[in-house]
Amino acid sequence: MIRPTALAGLLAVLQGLAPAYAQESRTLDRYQIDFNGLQTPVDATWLTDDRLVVLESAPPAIRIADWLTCSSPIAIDCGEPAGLAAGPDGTLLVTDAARNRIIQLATDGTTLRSFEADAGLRTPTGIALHEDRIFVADTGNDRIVVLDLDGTVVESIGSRGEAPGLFRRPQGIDFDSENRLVVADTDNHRIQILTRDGKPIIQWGSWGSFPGLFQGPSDIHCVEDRILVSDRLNHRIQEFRSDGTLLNAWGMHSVKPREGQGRIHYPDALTITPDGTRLAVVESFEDRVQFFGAEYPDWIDEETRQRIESRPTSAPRAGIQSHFGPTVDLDDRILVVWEPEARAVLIFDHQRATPIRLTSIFSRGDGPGGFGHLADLHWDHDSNQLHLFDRGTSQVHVYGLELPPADQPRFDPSMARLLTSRTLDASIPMHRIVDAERAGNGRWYLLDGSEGAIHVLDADLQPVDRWDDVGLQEPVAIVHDPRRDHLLVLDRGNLGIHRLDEAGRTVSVSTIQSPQALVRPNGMAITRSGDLLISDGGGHGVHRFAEDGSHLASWGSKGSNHEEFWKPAGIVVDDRDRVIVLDHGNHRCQMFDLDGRWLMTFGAGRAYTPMNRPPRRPEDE
Amino acid sequence: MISKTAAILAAAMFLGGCCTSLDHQLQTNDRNYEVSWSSNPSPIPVNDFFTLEVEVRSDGELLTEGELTVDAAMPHHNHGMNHVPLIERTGPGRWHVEDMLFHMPGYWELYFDIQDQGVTHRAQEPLEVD
Repeated sequence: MIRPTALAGLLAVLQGLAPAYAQESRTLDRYQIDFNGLQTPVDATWLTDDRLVVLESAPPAIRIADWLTCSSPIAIDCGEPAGLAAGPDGTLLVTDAARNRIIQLATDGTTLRSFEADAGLRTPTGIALHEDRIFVADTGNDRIVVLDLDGTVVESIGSRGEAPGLFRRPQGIDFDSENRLVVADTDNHRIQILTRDGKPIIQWGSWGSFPGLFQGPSDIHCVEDRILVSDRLNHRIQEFRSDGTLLNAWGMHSVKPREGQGRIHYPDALTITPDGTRLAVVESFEDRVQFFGAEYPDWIDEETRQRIESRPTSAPRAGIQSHFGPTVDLDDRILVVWEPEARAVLIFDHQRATPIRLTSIFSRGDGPGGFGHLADLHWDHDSNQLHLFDRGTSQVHVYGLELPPADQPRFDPSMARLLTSRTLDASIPMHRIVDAERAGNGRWYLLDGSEGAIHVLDADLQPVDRWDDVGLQEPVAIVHDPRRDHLLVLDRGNLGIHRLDEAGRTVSVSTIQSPQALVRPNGMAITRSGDLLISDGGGHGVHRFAEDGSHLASWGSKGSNHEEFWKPAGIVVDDRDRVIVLDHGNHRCQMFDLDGRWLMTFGAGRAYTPMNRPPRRPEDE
Repeated sequence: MISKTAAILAAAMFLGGCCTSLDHQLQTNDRNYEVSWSSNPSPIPVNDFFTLEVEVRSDGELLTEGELTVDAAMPHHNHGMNHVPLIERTGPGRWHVEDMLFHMPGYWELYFDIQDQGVTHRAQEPLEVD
């Protein structure tokens, strides 16, 4: 995200506007309007003519917005857009997290240039232009990369760690008024300020919810001596002085998804107008951009103001509310779900008519066994052990459970005991692992989403092999086919299913072919008969395919009622061929049969079935 | 004035050398280590500070390497202690823990996390405090 200071100043003079934050009391916390119905917006930036460019990822596109209108999506050639900056020449710079590159676009979506992988980027996200340099948050490599305007790397700042000047998955970058580099050090849950060449000056924050603490700060924006932070899992914006003093925090957490009007839900990015009077908060989870400001500019007349304020806002919804994360696992009795905001793992008995929660594992702080950001969880039926692959802390936690008798399920918060918590061998980049699977031979297969590699570990989690050359572009899920002892990898990059034997040899590669094109496949499961189930987070649906790749069924559409989805993620199928989908954006699980007939919607403490539907309320209409 | 650390070490040496009775024994949850501990005062009071003496063994031998972290929580309430304990190694496999405080009556779990050769192993003790 670029903040061309010189142009901002010129614009302010031309418009006759007072500089931002001229007074201590001026804040940006008043909700104005929102644009909803977008398609997974991930970043935004203001152009010098006061228009806003919104970057979308599923499918890749940009939109151009002014105060009242937002254009249709303009398709761009990009694997997974992640970060956006505008240059003084009116072009756009976009980080492509899937293809590990930077592309330069015209505002009509035309690709002008592509900075390929000379920089060795891994999952680049945030981007900022400063003077004659491009600064990129090279998230997968835990560093900041500096390039010249030709795309040549001139500097690399930091590496993985917790000490000042080191980073863990940094995502947001900007420069303050003193030309200092400001970084949202996301998995360290802090803000760092460094000199332009990377020497640490000050850092503040740690994990938590109290004012001044962070849960996954995802982006920052500097205005004069203020720093605004999108505090993603705390659902708020925090505003600081450049010495770390907290000035303001706002953005009440949505009680329900789809609420708006200032209630913020997983803010991913933020950007402020060059004159400092208007803030746009990007919420990809909600397909929305919300606008905040202290006041409307002078050129907004009363009629326009009324039109702005009478715009319909995001529709509220009813139903289950549980902050289920994207990962899930189960066996014939136990269902395990990750709850990222509470850093908790929820364990259900799903043998009954509706699931019964048996226990919750809450971590406490960053001490031993503490949870960071789980890439995957794996329940082992035989040992009653739960493996948690934590990309946030780069550890694997193993919990043992003493389950109650099957005919006496009951909640017991002490049911789970931490057995071990370990850091894997240094050759395993845990922070890049996106999924893990255990095969019948006892080995673990860890999927490196950035490198397209598979790390093979023995039963004791010691590395035994690494498969680099299996042709994966952007793998997102791996499952074991017990009938053939094959591993199946879902590749979002080429919309393919790679079938590998246990030696890593490719058996087949099939392209997903569905009457309903997949936009952003997220999860994969395999049935007892070998059918594949794929959740499509971008297309808001579920698809079933035969082993040969032929299409069998599809169901779901975007929405919040039963049988509808909002960015479905993890998917599993139980021994009764019941499909359980983590309906991530609706904060719930849904259960279906193999043909897509709805069986149940449930959360941590409530369930609805066709025999027990929720009462309809006016806001559901 | 004698420093706090020196006082702790002196007390620990005195206690460890003659009359410490570690009246609680348990194993780590993966059964790889044995942990013995005692509190002062005993039983553990509600909302008052207490100390711990802890001994960790592996195959009967005091642990010469490794670190110990001590924490506690009320799992039914999903919270831990509101004080950070001070932990001092007093000898091979022995630690003295200060600033422990259970600020509420009820069911607590006391956690001993042993970090040895890159792996953390947990031993835990269920406690009813009233």
